Amino acid sequence: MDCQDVKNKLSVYIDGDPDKEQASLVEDHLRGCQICSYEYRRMLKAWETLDLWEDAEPPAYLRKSILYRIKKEKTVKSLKVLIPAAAVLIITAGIFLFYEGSGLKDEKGLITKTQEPLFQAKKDAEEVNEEEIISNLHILQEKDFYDSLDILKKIDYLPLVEEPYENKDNEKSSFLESLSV
Amino acid sequence: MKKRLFLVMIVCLLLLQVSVSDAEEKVIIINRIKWQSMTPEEKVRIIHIYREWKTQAVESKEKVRNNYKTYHELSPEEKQKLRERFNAYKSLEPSLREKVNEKLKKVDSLPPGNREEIIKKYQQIREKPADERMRFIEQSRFWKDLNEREKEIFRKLMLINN
Repeated sequence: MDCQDVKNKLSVYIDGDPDKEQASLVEDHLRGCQICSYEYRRMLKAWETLDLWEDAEPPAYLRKSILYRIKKEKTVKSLKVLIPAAAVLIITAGIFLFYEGSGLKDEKGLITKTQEPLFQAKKDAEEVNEEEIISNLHILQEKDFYDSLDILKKIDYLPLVEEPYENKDNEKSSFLESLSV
Repeated sequence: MKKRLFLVMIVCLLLLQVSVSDAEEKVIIINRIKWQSMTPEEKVRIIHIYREWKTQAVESKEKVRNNYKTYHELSPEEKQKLRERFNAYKSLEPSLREKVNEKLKKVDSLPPGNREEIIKKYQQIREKPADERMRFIEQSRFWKDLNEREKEIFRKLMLINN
């Protein structure tokens, strides 16, 4: 076992190496090597010093102060995340309110004039079902006419609604009045 | 015998179905050709009407479709009469058109017996010569409330091909 091996095993040896053979090899080396022996003593002394250390209870004010600092650091960390998030939310809400208040409610208002035909074409394509138009084209072409066909058929009745009517007492009243309407 | 009759009925129904769907198919083919040959301006006009059409209630769409069918079942003379009436009706001022519609609604809302009486009376008047019919109409309060231009339009509306 050379010096380097012993140095590596010194701390295990001081703790009490469970491998007795290894421990005996280290002991043999320490007996013959002054440098390693010195190093062993130095480490042993350090260990003994550590043994003297007592687990003292920290004073209450110190504990309180440390906990307060930890809490404060946590709050600062949370604020670092929350402040940008809140800023983003406020800006978004601001843009939304501005957009609502300025009367630019339809998308058309937010686009430039050069984009307008493109937007309109897209909107038309969304709303207009060409197949539906084609299947109803015969009606759509003359919708006004077919819409008013009922009226056109009945228009002859019109003067009859208030036609003078001679009742039994030879008094003139409207035809509707005679029908008690 | 019953089986044969049943089979004949099935075949008739199938043929009827085929002829109906053929007719519809034909209309769509014609419409497609018409649509493709339309100018952009005409298409814009139709799209505008289509948008209005889309917002209408199912019942009113059905009414227009039925009117279309009714019209195509009429004789050429009746069709011509309605076309000419429509041109006159279109030229009415909106307020007067509204007045006409209201009056007609009034007739429609009459109790069935009274309504039939009006229509019967109208048919009697219709059979009279045009000048006599016009004299009768000119006695109505409705007529007296019209101005000269409106009277002229109504002459067209009521006397066209009567």
